[in-house]
Amino acid sequence: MSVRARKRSRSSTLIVMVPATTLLVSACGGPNRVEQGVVYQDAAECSAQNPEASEQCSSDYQAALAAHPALAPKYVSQEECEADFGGERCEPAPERHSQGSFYMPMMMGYLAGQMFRPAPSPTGAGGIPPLRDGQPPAAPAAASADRAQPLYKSRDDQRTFRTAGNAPVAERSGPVSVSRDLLQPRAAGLSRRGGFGATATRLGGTLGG
Amino acid sequence: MQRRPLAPRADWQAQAADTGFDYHTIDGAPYWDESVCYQFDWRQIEDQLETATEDLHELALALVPEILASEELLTRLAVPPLYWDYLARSWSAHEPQLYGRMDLAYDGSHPPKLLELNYDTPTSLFESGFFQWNWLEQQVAAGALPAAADQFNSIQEKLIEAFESLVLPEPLWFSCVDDSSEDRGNTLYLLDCATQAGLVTRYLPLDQLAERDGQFAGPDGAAIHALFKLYPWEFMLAEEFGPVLLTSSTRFLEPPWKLLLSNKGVLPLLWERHRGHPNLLEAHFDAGPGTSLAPGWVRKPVYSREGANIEMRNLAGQQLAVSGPYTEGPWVRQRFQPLPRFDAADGSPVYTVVGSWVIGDRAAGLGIREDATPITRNTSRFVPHFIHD
Repeated sequence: MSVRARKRSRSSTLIVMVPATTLLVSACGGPNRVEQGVVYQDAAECSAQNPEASEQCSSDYQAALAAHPALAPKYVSQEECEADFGGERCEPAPERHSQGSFYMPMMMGYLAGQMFRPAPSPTGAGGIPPLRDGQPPAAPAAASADRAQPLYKSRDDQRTFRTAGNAPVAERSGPVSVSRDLLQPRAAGLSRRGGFGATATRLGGTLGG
Repeated sequence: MQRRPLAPRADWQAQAADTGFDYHTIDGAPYWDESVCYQFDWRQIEDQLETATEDLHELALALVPEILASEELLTRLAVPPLYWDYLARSWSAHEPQLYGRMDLAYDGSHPPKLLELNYDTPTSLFESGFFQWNWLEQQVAAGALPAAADQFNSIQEKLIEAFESLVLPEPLWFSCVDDSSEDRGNTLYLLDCATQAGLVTRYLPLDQLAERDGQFAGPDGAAIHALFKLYPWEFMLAEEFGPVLLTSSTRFLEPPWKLLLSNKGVLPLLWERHRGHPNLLEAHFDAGPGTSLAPGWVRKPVYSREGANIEMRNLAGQQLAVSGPYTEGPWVRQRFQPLPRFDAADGSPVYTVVGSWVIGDRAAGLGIREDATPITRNTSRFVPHFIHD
């Protein structure tokens, strides 16, 4: 009698499901240059921590605020916007659709890039960390829109500052290390979530067969 | 083909818990049941089940281009016209499929008969491919089954091979309705196999899927280029994000054209083209509920799952119906095929359906389901099997 071909897998292991809860979404990593930046709620907070750089604070804040309407995620209704960002944290966007205005979250802070590096405050509190190359801090450069961008906070996480593209940046004001990608503001576009799954909610239970 | 009692492994529940198989008991009733098992002989597996599975798969695939080329057939299958081109493009671009399961009425001697194809969102994959495999290995090692016992189950091996050969953008995202533990278990098992195949993978609860500028996006706003979804295509086309499919460049598993083969309208189409085929049951399109159903026929909506909304009239004229949410047509009727009936320990009847997996166009293994009624549902027990002459 001839030897039969085996009908079952040679081995069977799991690498992700054991234990069941370890996996899921690991942060999208990758070799990404890290840069220094700062995060503040507004110009006043920045100036309070960097009194010698209040002019820079103001111009970065204004640059972010100016970029905000173009970059913020847009929603077709205030309700959809507030579902993501919380009650009374949305405002009309410049764009209009046939039924009315688009809505966008209010700007809750801003991120300014590496070129923003005022001298550490004399007390040493709240200042910018020493530069990696050891050079003395340069005079603040002129503000420009592409190195200050608006930040937002989602409804279910009121601590974390996020970019318009929903990337988390920091949980408190002050200096941050961020990937270079984040310093390049990108518009969020018209964003919607949860457009699949309604039938499942209606039917309940399991959908496989 | 025999149904045999066998002592369960002492620690099977702990093993289930360790792998997230938390749906082994559904609503307090056992779903995974290893107090019994089925024995097949080699001839049954290789000459009948494996052959029939691959033959039927080939016939089904041959239907796809014919349906896509015919507005009349697309209409009969209730495919929304807005998406006809979308489906056709996915077929002509050879977008690969991953897997499917066909349910067969098989008694161990007569040719297996096709009850239906679950070719879009088949489940019971984890218990078929992984948990059942471990059951066999451990019961053989414990001496409870003969050393020569085998199992028709190369499911995991073939899944990993299939993922290795798929040409898809990475990361490959996996998504399902997150609060269904059964759907999540099946989805994570596939994610696991894809990871073992070397793909970069991510999981995303379906309600977190976003749309941005006409493209599907993840929670960080980044575009999703490849997405496995354990969610029926017919639901997706009908929901809010349906039109986004038309602008998005996302590649899906299963691909859009699989919608056609999970539609029970393929049953009459197969019969019309292969009348008398030994593995097919006579089937026709049907006027639906409210019209009479002759003895010996079963009526099903073309879009339905888990045995819902099936109406059955056996040869004696007795009627059996399962209610459910799939109340819209069209409908088909299929010749009633009695399922093999076994007797449980307490003498009550047990009806058995053989689920036969197809992975990468090959027959890959079995998952057996039992029910106390002749209609298999999502609560029907899963029972392991082995092969031994």
